[in-house]
Amino acid sequence: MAALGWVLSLSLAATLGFVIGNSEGDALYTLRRSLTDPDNVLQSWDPTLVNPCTWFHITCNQDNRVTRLDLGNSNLSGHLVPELGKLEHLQYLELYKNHIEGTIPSELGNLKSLISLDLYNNNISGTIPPSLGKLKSLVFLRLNDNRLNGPIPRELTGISTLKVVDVSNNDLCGTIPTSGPFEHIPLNNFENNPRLEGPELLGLATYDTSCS
Amino acid sequence: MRNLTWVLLHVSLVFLLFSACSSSYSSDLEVLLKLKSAMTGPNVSGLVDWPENSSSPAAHCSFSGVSCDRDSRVVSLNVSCIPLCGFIPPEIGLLNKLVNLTIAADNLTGRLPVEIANLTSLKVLNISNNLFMGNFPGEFFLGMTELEILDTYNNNFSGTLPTELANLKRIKHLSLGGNFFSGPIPDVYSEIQSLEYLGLNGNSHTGKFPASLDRLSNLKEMYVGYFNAFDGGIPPELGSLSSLQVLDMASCNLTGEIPKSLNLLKNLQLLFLQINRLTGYIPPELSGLVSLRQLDLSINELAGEIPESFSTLTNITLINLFKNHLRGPIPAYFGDLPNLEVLQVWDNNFTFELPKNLGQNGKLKLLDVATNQLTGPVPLVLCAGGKLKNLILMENFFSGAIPMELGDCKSLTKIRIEKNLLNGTIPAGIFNLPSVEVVEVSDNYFSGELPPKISGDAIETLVLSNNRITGKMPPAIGNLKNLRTLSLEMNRLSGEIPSELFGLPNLININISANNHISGEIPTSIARCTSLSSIDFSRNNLFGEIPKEIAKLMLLSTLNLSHNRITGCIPEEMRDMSSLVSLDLSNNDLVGRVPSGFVIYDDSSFAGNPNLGPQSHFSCPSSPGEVQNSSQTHGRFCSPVLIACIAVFVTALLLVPPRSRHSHVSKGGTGIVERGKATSELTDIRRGLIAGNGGTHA
Repeated sequence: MAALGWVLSLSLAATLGFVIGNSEGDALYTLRRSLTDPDNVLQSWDPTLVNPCTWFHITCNQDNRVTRLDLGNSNLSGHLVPELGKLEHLQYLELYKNHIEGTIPSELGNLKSLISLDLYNNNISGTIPPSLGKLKSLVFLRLNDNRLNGPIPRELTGISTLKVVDVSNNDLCGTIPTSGPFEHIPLNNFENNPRLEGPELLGLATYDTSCS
Repeated sequence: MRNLTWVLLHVSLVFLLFSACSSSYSSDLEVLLKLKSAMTGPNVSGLVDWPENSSSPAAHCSFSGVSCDRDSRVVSLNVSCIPLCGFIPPEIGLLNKLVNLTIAADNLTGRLPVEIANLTSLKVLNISNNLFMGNFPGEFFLGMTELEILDTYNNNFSGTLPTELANLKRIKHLSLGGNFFSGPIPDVYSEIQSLEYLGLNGNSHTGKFPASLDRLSNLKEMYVGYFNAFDGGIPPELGSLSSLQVLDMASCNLTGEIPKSLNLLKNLQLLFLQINRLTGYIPPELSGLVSLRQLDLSINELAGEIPESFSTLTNITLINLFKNHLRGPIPAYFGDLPNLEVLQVWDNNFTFELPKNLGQNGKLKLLDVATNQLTGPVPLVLCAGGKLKNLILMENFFSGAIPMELGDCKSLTKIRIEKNLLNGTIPAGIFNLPSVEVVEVSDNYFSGELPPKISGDAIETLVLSNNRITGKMPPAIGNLKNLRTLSLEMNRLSGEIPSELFGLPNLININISANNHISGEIPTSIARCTSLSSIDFSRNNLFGEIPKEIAKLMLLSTLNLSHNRITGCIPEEMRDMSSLVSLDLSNNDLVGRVPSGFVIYDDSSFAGNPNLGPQSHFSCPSSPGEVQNSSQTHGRFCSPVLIACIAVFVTALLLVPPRSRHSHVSKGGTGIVERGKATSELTDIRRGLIAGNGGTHA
């Protein structure tokens, strides 16, 4: 009976150990639970460890804060979680070439250190959250080859560091921003969005668009 | 006459009895079949060996999980771990001879039917691991005077704990944990004198922990932690629970100090107080816990030292004190504790040395003393019993060498000794251990060379960075078929990168930067390592060209080849590496132009390459597929020669009869149009000279 009690406590500790306050590990473990991982690439993601810095596909900085999440081409399905927005030191979010569905959580706009957001080649639907306009260090924004709809948020034109934007092969509508960093984004990074109207006309001319 | 009526009376009585008996036979069978249909629901097929068309009235007694008494009444029903999905129907109340009702882990939902109160013979009721919900109907249990075991662990019951259970005079095992019960633990539970096991863990209880529970003199195990949030601390009165063997009050917001009166618990084997906000010192009086086998006080705010008196705890196997504010030495007697298997004291302020004979008891399995201020040597006998799995000494001030004995410790799974002052050679055996998955020895003063024989094919993480390791990278590193992360940066390695390295199927990160003397070319076999995400070869002596095969690495995110002597052109193929987000080729001898499409990288990625840039004399192929001799590093054509060639061609064209020119022009028109067309033809021709097929790269 005592042995059973010990096993009980240990398993409870294992599953509930995250109450300690390792919020970055908790957030990532929440992501793990909402993803389906047939190739077991997340096998090393052990929530009982004091931080996620020894997990594979995670890179931390000197202070044991997560700076990179590299899960491209990992055969993952399932969906993203709002808890990802808690990774304040995250610079590279690489989830491209998977089968991830669901929407882009607006909480990703809280990733104030983010340099690269690569969600391309997935099955993601819903709209591009305007909160991504808060990512003032963003250089790479690649959302192409998904099922995104709605407009391209104008808030993105405020990110002066943006160098690469690719939203091709989606179902976006409305107009293509042309100001700020979008001056240098080639038009074919917007192609294959049947309802996308074309570059916005600045000035008095307005498009009659039903895109909200 | 009187005889006749009496006979008739008897006969009818017999008939009545007979019919009563036969109806109770068929009714238990019918009840069970009714249970089956209610508990299985329309789409789930469970209880398949409870056939509906049973002929014999006592057929139910051979259903699986069913036991009957001599009258074919069901006395025991045990249907567990079968994925049912229905509910318990009211008919359950008809099985009034039931002594044992166990329907655990069956995915059942709904509420307990009031008819369950009929089961007054019940001794065991186990409905654990289901989805029952609502308030727990304590009033149903008032008649169950024989009840000894009530197990509702891991359901969705809510509301306050049922006080009616205090009326049960025989109950020994009360397991109500893993639900959503709220409110305080009722004081009246202190009246359940028969109780031996009390489980209230994993609920949402609040309020002060009742000191009155100290009256439970038969209590052997108490689990009240996890997700509960009590006000205040551990009542000192709990020291009176003289039968107690297990006290688990982990993670329930306890404050205050550990009462020294707990030392009265002479039968206590497991003391779990971790993940609370306990303060003060560890009471030396707890050395009186002579039966103690496991002590977990981790993740609290305890201060002071480990008491000297704990040397009496000779039965102890596990000591967890990590993440507190403890100080002082790790007591020397820890090496003498005959049964110690787990010692985890990381993240405290412990000083001085580890006991020299730690591990001598031959039982040490997990050792984690990381993030303290420990000094001195690594004890030689840590693996004396061949059972050591975790050796975690990181972030201390350990000095001296790694004992050679640890190279023979075949049980090791994790070695994390980085950030110390260790020196000497890393024992070759470490690289050949059969089970070790993590080897981290970085940030020390290790010297010597890596061994030629490397066979530890369980190794996933190998971090040797920031040491003084010399010699070459052994080709045998290609045997580490599970290797994912290789960190050799900031050492004194020399020689070439063995191409065997790139046969590793799982390699994700490789960093060999700042060795300064690693030389040779980047092998084209680098492309075999398709899972590579991060490459850092910077600050070495690499020469030769960047192999175009590097573009085959579809997951490469970071490429740093800076501060080498790499020459040649940047392969055009690298433009297509969409996964690349961080590139540093600075401070090399690259020539030609940066391929267009690399606009995303700023100048710092390419700085320090004198012959690289728009003014470069050298020109590189501008489209893929161009056959070039890889040893030819200088430009194929010099601009002046090019202009001369063009001039010759222009002259030739102007001398050609108009009809030939018309054949190039898609529509007729004025001379202006023709001239325009001629210009575009010239552009095509010039491209043709360079590229060989006149197409533009897209």
